[in-house]
Parts: sequence; C-alpha cells; structure tokens
Amino acid sequence: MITTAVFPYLLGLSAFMFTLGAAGVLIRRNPLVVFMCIELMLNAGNVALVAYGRFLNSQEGQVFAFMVIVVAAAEVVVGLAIMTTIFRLGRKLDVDDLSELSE
Amino acid sequence: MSVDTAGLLVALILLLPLGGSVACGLLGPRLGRRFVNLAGTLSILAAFAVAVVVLVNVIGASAGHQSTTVRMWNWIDLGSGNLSVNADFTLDPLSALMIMVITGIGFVIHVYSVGYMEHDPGIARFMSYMNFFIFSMLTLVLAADLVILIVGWALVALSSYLLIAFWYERRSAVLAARKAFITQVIGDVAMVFAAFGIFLNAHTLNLPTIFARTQAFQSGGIVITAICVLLAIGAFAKSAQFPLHTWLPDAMEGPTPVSALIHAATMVTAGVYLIARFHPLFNLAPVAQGMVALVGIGTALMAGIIALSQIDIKRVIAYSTMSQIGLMIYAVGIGAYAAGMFHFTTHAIFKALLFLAAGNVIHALRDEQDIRLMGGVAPRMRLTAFAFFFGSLALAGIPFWSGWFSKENLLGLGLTSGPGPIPWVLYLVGVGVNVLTALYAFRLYFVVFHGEPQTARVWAAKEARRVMLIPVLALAALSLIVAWPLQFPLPNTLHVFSDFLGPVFSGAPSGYATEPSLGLGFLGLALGTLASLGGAGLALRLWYEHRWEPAAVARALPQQLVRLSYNKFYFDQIYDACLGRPTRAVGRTLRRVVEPDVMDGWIRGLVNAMRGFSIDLRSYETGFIRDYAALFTVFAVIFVIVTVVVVSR
Repeated sequence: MITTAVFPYLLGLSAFMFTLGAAGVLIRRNPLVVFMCIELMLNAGNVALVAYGRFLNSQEGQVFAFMVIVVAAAEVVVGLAIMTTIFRLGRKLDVDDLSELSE
Repeated sequence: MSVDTAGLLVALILLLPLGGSVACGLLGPRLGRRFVNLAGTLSILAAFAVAVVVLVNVIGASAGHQSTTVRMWNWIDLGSGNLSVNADFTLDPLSALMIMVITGIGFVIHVYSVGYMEHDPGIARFMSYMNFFIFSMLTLVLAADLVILIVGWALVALSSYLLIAFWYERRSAVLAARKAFITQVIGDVAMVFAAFGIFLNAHTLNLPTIFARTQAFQSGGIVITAICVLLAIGAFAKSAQFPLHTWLPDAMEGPTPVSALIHAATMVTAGVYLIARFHPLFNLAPVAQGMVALVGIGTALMAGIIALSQIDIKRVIAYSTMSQIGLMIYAVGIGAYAAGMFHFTTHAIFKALLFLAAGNVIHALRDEQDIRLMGGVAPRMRLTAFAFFFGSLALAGIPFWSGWFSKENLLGLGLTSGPGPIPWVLYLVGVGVNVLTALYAFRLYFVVFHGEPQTARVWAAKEARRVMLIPVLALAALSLIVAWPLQFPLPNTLHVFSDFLGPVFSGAPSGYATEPSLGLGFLGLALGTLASLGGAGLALRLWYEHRWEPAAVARALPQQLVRLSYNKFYFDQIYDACLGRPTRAVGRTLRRVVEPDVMDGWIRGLVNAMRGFSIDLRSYETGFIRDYAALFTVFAVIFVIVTVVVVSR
C-alpha cells in the first residue's frame, strides 16, 4: 500500500522522467530516439496523473492516464508512418536534415 | 371635392407616369419600339385626363372649398409637436393649373419625341426618363409637405441630369449634365436650410399648416427674410436666374424634346411656382421680395442681351427662356403671383412650340444647330416655319398672341407694385426687355427661315413627318388662342385666370401689385406694346430687309457691350477663375503634398514597422525541429513558472 508519504517522490520521479525526455528530444538527432523520448515525457505525465489520482482519492487521474496512452499509441502510428515514408524517399533519417519547414 | 376622390385622383396622376416609366424601362428593351411609343405617350395622356378631371372638380368646387389636401400615408412621426413628415398632396387651383400644363404640354412633347427619336436605339431609356420626369414634376407641384416637395425638387433635378446626359457618349453632354446637377444641388441645400428655419419657427413642415401659422414669424424680421432668401436661392438655381443661371444654356446638349419639356416649359419654371406657393411667407418679407424682383428683371435684361448674339439656335431659345422666366420671377417678386403664373402658362406653350419647331429644323438639317449655316429654310418647311413664326410672335409679345396678354398683364401690374419711382424704373427695364425680346425672337426667325440657304443641307431639307408636325401645329394654334378666354391685360376687363387663382393668393397685403387704374393701365399697355412692335420692326429692317447690315450695326455699338453679349457676360470664365481654378489648385496641392506625405505617410510607416517586425520574427524560423522543440520547452517552462507565481500569490 502506497502511503501519501510516497507522493513527493512519485512527483520527483515524474519530473525526472520528463526532464530526461525533454533533454533527449532536444539533443538526439535520430527520429526514433526522439520518439522514444517523447514517449518518456508522456509517461512522466502518466505517472504524475496516477499519483495525483491516488493522492486526491479520485478516479479521474487513472482515466486520463488511459487517454494519454491512447493518444501516444496513435501518435506513434502516425510518426512511424511518416518516418517509413521519409526512409522510402531515400532520405537520411536525421531530424536536422529535415528542415523544409523554414521554406 | 371629397378627400376620397382627391386621394384617388392624386394616386392615379402620380402612378400613371411612374408606371409608364417602369414599363418602358424594364419591358421596353424586350418588347420593342412600338410598345415604348405607346406606353410612354398613353400614360401621359391618361395623366392628362386625370388632370382635366381635377381641373373640372376644382372649378366646380364652391367658394372657399377649392383646396383639398389628402394624406396618403404617414412617413416619419416623432410624436405630437415633434417632426412629422407625411405624404400629403394638395389639389387647389394652383396645383390644378400646374398639372394641366405639365401633363398637357408633356403629352404633346412625348408624341413629338416618338418622331424625333425614331432612329435612336435608346428610345426605351428615353421614354422611361421622360415619364419619370413627369412623375417627379407632378410630385413637386402636388406636394403639401415641405419634405415631399423637396423630394420632388431633387427628383426633377435627377431627371434633368439623366436626360441632359442622354447621349452619354458625348463628353460635352456629360459635362453639361454635371454642371446642371451641381448648380441645382446648391439650390437644394438652400431649400433644406429654409426647411430647417421654417420648422424651428412654425414647428411643422405641412404647407397648409405653415401658411396658417404665419403669425409665428415676425413680419419683416430677420428670420422670415432669411428663410425667404434661402427659398429664393432654391428657386434661382432651378429657374436659371442670376447668379445660378449658367447651367441652362449648356443643358441644350440634351435631345430637343428634353429642352422643350424640362428646360423651357416645366422644370425651369418650378422656381416661379415655389415662390407663388410660398407667397404667405414672401408677403411677410418685403426685403426678400425686392431681391427676387430685382434678380428677376436683371436676369431678364441680361439674358435678353446675350440672346442677341448667340449663334446656336437652341441656345438663343434657352436664353430667351431665361429672360422670360426672369420676368415671371419679377412678377412673383412684386406680389403679382397670378400674373407670374399666367405668363408661365402661355410661355410653356409658346416656348415648347419654339423648341419643337427648332427641333424640326435641326432634324431636317441633319443635326445642324448653327444659325449662320441655315437661312432660307421657310420655302422648304412651310408649316414648321409658320409654326415657328407664331411662336416668335407670341414670344415677342405681338398683339393678339398669347405672350402679349401675359407679358403686358405682368408689366402693367408692375406699375403699382409700390410707392416712389422704383416700380417705374423696373417697368422701364421691363419695356427694354420687351424690345430685346422682339429683336432676338425675330432675328432668330429671319436668320433661320429667310434669306439665302447657306449650306447644301438646307437645299436638301424636307418638311418634318406628321408625328412631329401635328404637335407643333397644335401648339402653334394654342399659342395664338390660349389667352383669349383667360385674361385681358387691362383693369376691370376679362380676368378669368386671376379669378381662378384668386382663392390661392388671397390675403396678400396691400402695397403690392394691385390693379392699376384704367388710365395707367392703358398707358402701360400702349408703352409695352409699342416697345415690342418697335423691336420687331427693327428686327425686320435688320435681318429681313437688310436695310442696315447687322454686322455694321454691331460695329457701331459700344464694343464692350457686344463682347459682353457674345461672351455671355463672362460668367463661365468668372466662375472658372473664382471657383474652378482655386478648387483645382487645392486639389493639386493635396495630391502633391497631403496625399503622399500625410495620407500615404502613416500607412507607409505602419507597413515599414510591420515589415521590420516580421523580418525579426523570421530569424526564429530555422526549420530545425529541435529549435522549435527548444523554444516550445522554454515557453512551457516560463508558462508554468508564471502560473505557479500567479496562483501562489
């Protein structure tokens, strides 16, 4: 049984995971790794949501966590499809190489 | 006449020309020329029939009940004591006379234009505008509410504009139309201000109520004088009187039936009607009346001098119109309202006749309007020449043509228009105008119709078709006999006309034009008639018998006068120098200085600021996803920190 005393540690874990994910998104150039980092950030959010739900004695946190998981799954599907398409076009899989947004 | 009958008659007489206008305008282009000719003329004939019914009803009404006012609907109502505008229309002797002349002459001219416009592809548009003009003019004269009157006043200006610019591919026609419209808007503005003044004092815009509340104005006071001067400015603009007269000669750019209907017979005399209609107010403002009389007689003299040297057949007639309207304005200015309206009636007939006969000549000579290139038209167009001669006799005031009755009647009343020598001075100017009128009327007739043909076009001229000849001959007959049963220019003789209008103009204070004594009347009549006959005789010697060469006579005259006459007293040049050129100079300055530096300046400054800002922003658009993510992260962190700070406060 998790007591309320654990709650700050859970939030700390969430913050650490989020920071790790954000740093990875900003630093890594491989889109696959960037995706994994985004998953990390989303899961950091999940941890915080579930922790808050438990702490506030409410079901909503868990329900929202499920929502986030669904969105993450959908996002991965779209993102991997984009990456496959880029790979098929014979482009290098490097986020810095994909800079057409400025044009 | 019961209110119901009057309402029906008013609705009929207004809706018939309006319906004709709509039918010709909308269906005409599809249904063709025959339909337009029929619909355009029959609507006016029907309106004329209604006008006859109105006249019979007004004549048959018992004394004191000649005037009927009907309320069609309430337009604007802000509660009792506040502004209330109603579609009120009055049927009384004055409006009955006006609608008789408008629809009667209007019908004749519509028939004539069927022939005159037979080759013009725009006949549907023409008939539509002409019918619309009749509708507007009827609104103007029937209105018993000042706002409705001003609506009609503006609508006739609009019809005039549309018809002067009928041949809109001609630049001069468009310019003339613009000039006429702008000049008349000056009058409209004056009318609106007069309406303000009347409402502030009488607290109503209903004409019969205003005239019943004349005690609201201090007689001879500054307020009533200002109101009457403003009304007079409106009348001057509409009736082409000095100093707002320059548009009328240019308006001759329109088709000849338009000149006959709008710029001779009806619309330009609306100013005379206006002053006659507002006589209860003018009676209270002797200063304004004096000004009106002076402007009228002055314009009559000036236009008469100008008409002597003009070379365009229509412009000569236009200046004679201006001169004759000047006489009418003079008449209403001295309080001889019925005399002014009488001259309006005869003038409408003989001036329409002159224009239509001139139109026949212009048509036969293939649009030639320069009288120096005519000459000798009479043997080729006998009936037209005969009709034009009748018109000239009436215009010159030769006994016993209609113009003689009305003009001598008007001038004779002028003799008793006040104490002292001023009435006599004005009368003598009027006699001078008589001489000038006879001179230019017969100069025009002799130069155009007699002598040797000056160009081959004259040799080829043929008499006009029947559809154009019958209206002219009908008007010629009318111009001779119309005045006989109506009025005789001597005191205590036949006075059917002024007795008919008497109920409208009753209540004029003494001291204004009254019947002169018999001896004085005879003296005035003899003097005026002799002047007209003298002028006609002089014209006969000069331009028919050529006893003296006209050019030699002109050289013998003071050259300043000749040049003034030929250049129309330089009014166009003066207005151009005083108004046109300064306006253009201001416009150029605004274009060069204000527009680029001020108007464009702040817009351009704004554009530059935005452009700089967007260049700065663009540097953040690298295209590297990591940069976007980093920015996003930074702002997310800032957002979180700000939220925490705000919430925890």
